[in-house]
Amino acid sequence: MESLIPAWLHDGWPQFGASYIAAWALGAALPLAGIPVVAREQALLGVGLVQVGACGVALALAWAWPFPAAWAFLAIGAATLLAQRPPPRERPEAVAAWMILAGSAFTVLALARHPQGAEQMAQLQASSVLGATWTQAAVAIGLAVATLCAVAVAGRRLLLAAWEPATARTQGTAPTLLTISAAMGLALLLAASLKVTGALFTTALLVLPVLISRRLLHRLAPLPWLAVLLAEGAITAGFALSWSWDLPPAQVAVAILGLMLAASWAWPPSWRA
Amino acid sequence: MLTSGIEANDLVWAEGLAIGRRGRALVAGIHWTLRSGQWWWIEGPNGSGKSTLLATILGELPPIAGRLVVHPWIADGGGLSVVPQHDALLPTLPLSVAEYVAFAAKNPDPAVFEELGIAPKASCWALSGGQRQRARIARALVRQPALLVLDEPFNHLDHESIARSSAALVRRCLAGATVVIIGHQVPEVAIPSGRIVLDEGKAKVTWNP
Repeated sequence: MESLIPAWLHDGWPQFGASYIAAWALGAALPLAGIPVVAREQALLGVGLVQVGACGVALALAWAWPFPAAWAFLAIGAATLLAQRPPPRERPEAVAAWMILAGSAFTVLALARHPQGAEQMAQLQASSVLGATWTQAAVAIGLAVATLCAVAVAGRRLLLAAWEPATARTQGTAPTLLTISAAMGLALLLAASLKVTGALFTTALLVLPVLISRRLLHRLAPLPWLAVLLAEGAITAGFALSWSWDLPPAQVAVAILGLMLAASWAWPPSWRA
Repeated sequence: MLTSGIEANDLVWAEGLAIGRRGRALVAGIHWTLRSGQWWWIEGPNGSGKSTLLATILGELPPIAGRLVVHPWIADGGGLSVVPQHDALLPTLPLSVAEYVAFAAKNPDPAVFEELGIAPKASCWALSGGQRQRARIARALVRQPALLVLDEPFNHLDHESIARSSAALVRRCLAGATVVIIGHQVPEVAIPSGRIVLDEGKAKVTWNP
């Protein structure tokens, strides 16, 4: 029986079991949360949002703020992201550039005088899925279940509110209230993911699986499941390859997803057939 | 309790209504009663206030002056279907026509696809402009609304799309639904029972029983 279990899982479990569980749970939650982000054509804003979140986590670390402070920081960023409207307010790419640049600068400044600042910064920005505690794994599972429930209950309304707020209103949905609720939930998930993993892993899992899936499908219904499947596949492959070749698993998973997206661009989209 | 002058089957009742944005009146003195089973055409040049009138009726903008009563069915959105001038039928995620229509009703009557000549399994990304507009109208129809409001529904459509779409709307109107179309191009297949012409801040309402 033992021979059927891969070595990275069998031998690595005592040390990295919580990390495996946390990464898989986040691999289920982040792509689902990324669907409304990509639906609004805000993949780059998603990157900016995670950067703002990293800044919030950095501030929380530097000044020993409680975790809710980082979440509040992210919630404001998420609400800014989801409430984006076209000009004359501001173009989304300008907001994305501001989020990425200001978020990066303030993250570094927040940790500049921290005793373990360089280490903390490296972990936040570069990402490591290894080192999660069992408490963090349990939180990640809870967030994955909550995200799944939210998508099942309000996913369609959230998409309609993103695409056509006026039509959503005629169907009894309050788009603003729904958007704010979604922003709060997204902020909570991102804050937890940033704390457990880091900016690279969180951003990649948020947008890449959905960007790949939409190239491969012509229907919406299977998209959430394909996105989660791709994310879990990349994470699992990341753990396996990193065990064999002594590489950081988060970066391997993100590299796999990046290559898959590039490959999907070469593949004719299924909807053209 | 009904306000004096309003009848039970009135969907929209306006008396001396002034519409506009940010407190500035664009059109004033609108006297209009919209009842079940009627077909209305609202027209006027660009910027004359057509979309502002629609937004006021839908409760998105407050009236500047006068009185406006909207039937609770319409006000709460339950009996209303709107085909907006611009919407996201070029969605950012893959979406079949059936899924797009299902955003309005979970189990849409499949006959509506045949009626409007669109394939339910087709991808929204692969539709022509005319097919997209027919898909929008299909989505509005599947809710079986008491009031259908369409903003510029026949713009840039070919003859077949106009004929199919307006025939479907006429059938709903004959079955008791009220149709309000905002636009420039009156299709030959349907003569409106009422017309509002908005121009230079005034509304000319004519009724052809």
